[in-house]
Amino acid sequence: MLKYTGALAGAAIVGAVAGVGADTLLRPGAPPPPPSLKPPLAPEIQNRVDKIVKDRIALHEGETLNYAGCASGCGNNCLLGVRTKNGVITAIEGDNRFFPDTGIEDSEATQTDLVKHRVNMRGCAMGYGMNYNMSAPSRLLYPMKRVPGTKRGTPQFVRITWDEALDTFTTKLKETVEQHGPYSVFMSYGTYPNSATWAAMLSQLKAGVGGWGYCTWDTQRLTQQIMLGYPGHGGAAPSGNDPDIFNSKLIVFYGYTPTTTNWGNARKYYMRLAKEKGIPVIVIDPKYATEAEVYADQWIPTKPGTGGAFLLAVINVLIKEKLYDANYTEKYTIGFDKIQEEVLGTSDGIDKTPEWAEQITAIPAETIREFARLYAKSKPVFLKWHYGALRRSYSEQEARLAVTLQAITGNVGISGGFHALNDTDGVSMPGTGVAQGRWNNDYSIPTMYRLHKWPQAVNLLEKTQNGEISKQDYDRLVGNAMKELPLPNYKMCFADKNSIVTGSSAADQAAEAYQKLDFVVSFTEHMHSTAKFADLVMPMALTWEYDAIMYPGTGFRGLMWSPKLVNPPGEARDPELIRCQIAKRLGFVDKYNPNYKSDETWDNNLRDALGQGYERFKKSMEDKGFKVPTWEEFQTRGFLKYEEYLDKAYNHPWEQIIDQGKLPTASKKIELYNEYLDKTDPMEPLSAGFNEMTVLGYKLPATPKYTPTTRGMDTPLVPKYPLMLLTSHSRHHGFSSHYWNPMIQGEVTGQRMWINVADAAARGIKDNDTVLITSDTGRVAIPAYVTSRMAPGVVLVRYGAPYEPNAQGIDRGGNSNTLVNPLDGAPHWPAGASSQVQVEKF
Amino acid sequence: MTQYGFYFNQARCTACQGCANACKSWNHLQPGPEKWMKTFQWEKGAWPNVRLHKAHVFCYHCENALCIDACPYQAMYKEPKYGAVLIDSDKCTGCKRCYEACPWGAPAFASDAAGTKATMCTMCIDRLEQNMLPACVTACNMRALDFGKLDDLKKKYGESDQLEDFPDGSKFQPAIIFKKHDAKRKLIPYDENKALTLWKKRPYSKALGYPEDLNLPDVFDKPTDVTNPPAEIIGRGKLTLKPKNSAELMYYTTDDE
Repeated sequence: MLKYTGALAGAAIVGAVAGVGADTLLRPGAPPPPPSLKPPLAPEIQNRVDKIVKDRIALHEGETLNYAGCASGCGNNCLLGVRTKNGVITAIEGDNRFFPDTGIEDSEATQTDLVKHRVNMRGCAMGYGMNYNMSAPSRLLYPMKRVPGTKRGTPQFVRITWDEALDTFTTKLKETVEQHGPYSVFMSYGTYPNSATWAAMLSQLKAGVGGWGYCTWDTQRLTQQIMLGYPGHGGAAPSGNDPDIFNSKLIVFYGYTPTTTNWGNARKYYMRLAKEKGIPVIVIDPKYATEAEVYADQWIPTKPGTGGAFLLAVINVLIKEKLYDANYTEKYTIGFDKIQEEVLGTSDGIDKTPEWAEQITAIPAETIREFARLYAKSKPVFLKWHYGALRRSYSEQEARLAVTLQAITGNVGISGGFHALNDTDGVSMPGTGVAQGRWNNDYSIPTMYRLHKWPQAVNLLEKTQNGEISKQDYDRLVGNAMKELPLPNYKMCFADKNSIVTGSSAADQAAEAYQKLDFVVSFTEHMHSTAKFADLVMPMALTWEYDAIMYPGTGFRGLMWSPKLVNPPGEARDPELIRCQIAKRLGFVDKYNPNYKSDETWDNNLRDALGQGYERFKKSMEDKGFKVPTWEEFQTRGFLKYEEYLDKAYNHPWEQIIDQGKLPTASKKIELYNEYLDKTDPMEPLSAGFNEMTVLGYKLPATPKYTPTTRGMDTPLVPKYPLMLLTSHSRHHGFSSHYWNPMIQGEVTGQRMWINVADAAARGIKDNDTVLITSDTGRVAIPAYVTSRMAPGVVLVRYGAPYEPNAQGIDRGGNSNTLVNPLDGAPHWPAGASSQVQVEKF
Repeated sequence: MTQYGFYFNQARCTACQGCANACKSWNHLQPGPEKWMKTFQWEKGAWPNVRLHKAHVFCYHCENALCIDACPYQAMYKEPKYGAVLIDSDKCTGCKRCYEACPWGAPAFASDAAGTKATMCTMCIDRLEQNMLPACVTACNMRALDFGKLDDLKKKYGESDQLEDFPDGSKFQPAIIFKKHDAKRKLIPYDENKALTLWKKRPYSKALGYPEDLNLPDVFDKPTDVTNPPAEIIGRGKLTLKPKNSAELMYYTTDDE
């Protein structure tokens, strides 16, 4: 510990001018002047100061500081300084090891530093409050089973031993499969990507049913497949890394909110640096989001769901004024003639001019026209058109038009240009090859519903079995990609991690579905909405309660160490250990996870496996000629950034790939028109290079069009439900994670509904009044946030709050998904994440 | 005495409260109103001409600290090494004179109960003694905060701006340099009045490509409903630096993002 030296500095001049400072107010009748409280301090005051400082320092004595990756379910991982003492986390702080003398790296960093991503990976309110999430009163400490005779949905449980919990789970699983066949057990989804390990385990049992889909990502993911041939359901098509943003000449966000979604550890910081470097930024969003304030030179509000009309009009101007990049379009795309027909109205008689689009979007025609002109002369353009923008029906067409705009202006695959969708940086870095659960390669788990529609997959079974709805309608409504298989026979369900009820459209229907099953299991950390419906609750450990290597992946590439720093509370266990223990009972733990040796040695088994994985990574890097820290050095640093090995900003070489004839689309070019879609039965799962799991459920046009959303500001539902509902994510909870964190809920945020002042005044609502929100699927009552930042005619309820229906069936938890209709449209649309509602004072 | 101080760039800040929670974590403060770092958001203007202002209120360790003089119990000191203003909790009685005196209301209280002692930002003097920057500064993911010798900061970032709606505390010489948020600039023309007229209508006609012709009700009655709202219904429609009690403080220092 360093000794406080202020006393010495002060003492040298103490005594020279003891007494009252000239700036001290003299109060009438006050006691004799006190000793000097300001420098030079009276000696006794200096002693008091010394004591204060000493006490503050003592608060942190004996702590150990580790740097550890954060997992909060948001858009990335940050690296936090975590202090522990006596097995307890005592403080969490930001990392400041790059440029330790300043809080602001760019005040000292060179361009090379920025390109090499030599910036700290700092956290947010969630990360710095993580220990409160770990010790929240809602944290589950012991395995529990439902009190016999109590209804699912009520948290009435009794503590049991792990042996009883694991034996019960294993027995139920085997019994259910034996009695009801392989399609009787299903996994409702978790919001963390480790559900795949459950699927891996079930594949060893040759049983079980899974779902497909990733919510907001699905239509942009479909788009990247249609247009760029980028296959698979597990990733995002690459574009550029963070430093490549500085090479852009214009930055446009459409419904993109990197600070709200915490998307990319440093991307939000680099975006702001880009603005400060003078790159103009336009933010188009129905609400005056934080992004509109912090990044935008100019904010342009627009009606949500109308982006397709805006894009068609922009392209219309580019075509009529010959401002598009004809050479690039000719060389790298196919289908421009078809786009032209759509844009100019050759086929439907509607010329998609700015004057046409302004009526739909509420962006004035001259703004659209000047936007197009500015766009054309600003190459390269960084365009982001995903997340919020695509959380609605028909959004795959809007996404396709956004990529079309980037393609015909020659912005795909050039430094500073991005393809508009969600992206990874594209930098190719070796992995560690540490698998958790291993698959039985002889058996694939069938995907028989879109993840968010699992309640409907259960609830509609009976009607399908008795012929009220056809099998084909069932498949279409729930997104069953395995229509050749018999109807499933769901009896047992288990859910992993955060609140599945909250994550399903129409929470009331999820509650109904849970009552229809024989056995429900929740593997989770908090007593949340889903756990309340379980018959068996398995308490899981959180980050920093077991070892992990993380792969932060937006904006830069790297590895991050997230060690076990404290023991899990009570009897909570590492989720992979729980799975190994189940696999052991089922007799195949050696096949499922060969790293597992015994319960007692598990912590060491896991660390050894991670260490071996790191050595594999290191060897691959060294083969490339890179010097890589040792496993021990990596653990101390807590991170490794691949950008350190790069000398310039990265942008994925789409042009080069097309030049070499390697783009995996049918035409080997960017497909503005897609022939395959034209010929595909929308009920056939997509194949031939497409994601084979996706069922479209409606006939996708071969060329994107503007199709008004089923739930928007201009639909036939308006007379009954006049307000469009958006359900954006929150920056203060990743999905539902941290929702029970007392350092978050009530401390930095609360669940309220955004409403414009005009809509509020018309209903007699003032800020913080509790309001009743009604849709065709449910009712929610929460306080209102009355603001001019929200667009008139639109309200916003943030996603992730718990489902807590009262006796009248009104959800007082404020779960946004209570209000969205899952049967409203195609299975791949993002969970019906928009809706229409009416609002009144409660 | 060398005065150390802070730098706050309002333009960069997203008001994410990372700094506030890092402050609580370092200083072992419980959830609740004892916020040494209070993050305020307040909106101005009306849609579609609205701005979101944000700032953090914490002890700015004034060179001419009014609170020290206001304390009847001589429980506040100006520490000589860094110029930190410190509260001596042994002497503090919780009379709140310091809170009343401070133009920004920096002192914090764990509850409204009479006699609850004042606590506040110590400049992380314990971290400074160990060659670390204050916890809030190293927490900021937007790099809106810095710390150092006030003279050095002035050289680096220039003189302090007056933040809109903030009290002019210059006579107390707060040890902080504010940089106010950016002016907006129109890159392309945008006619707000026309936009409001367009927003009011809900088009639904075959001519525009909709499946049928429908006469849908307007979004609002008249544009002034949007542009001239009653001030009293708006949440955080103004900066309220000194909330009357804990509940009000929590209301003004939480956000809806």
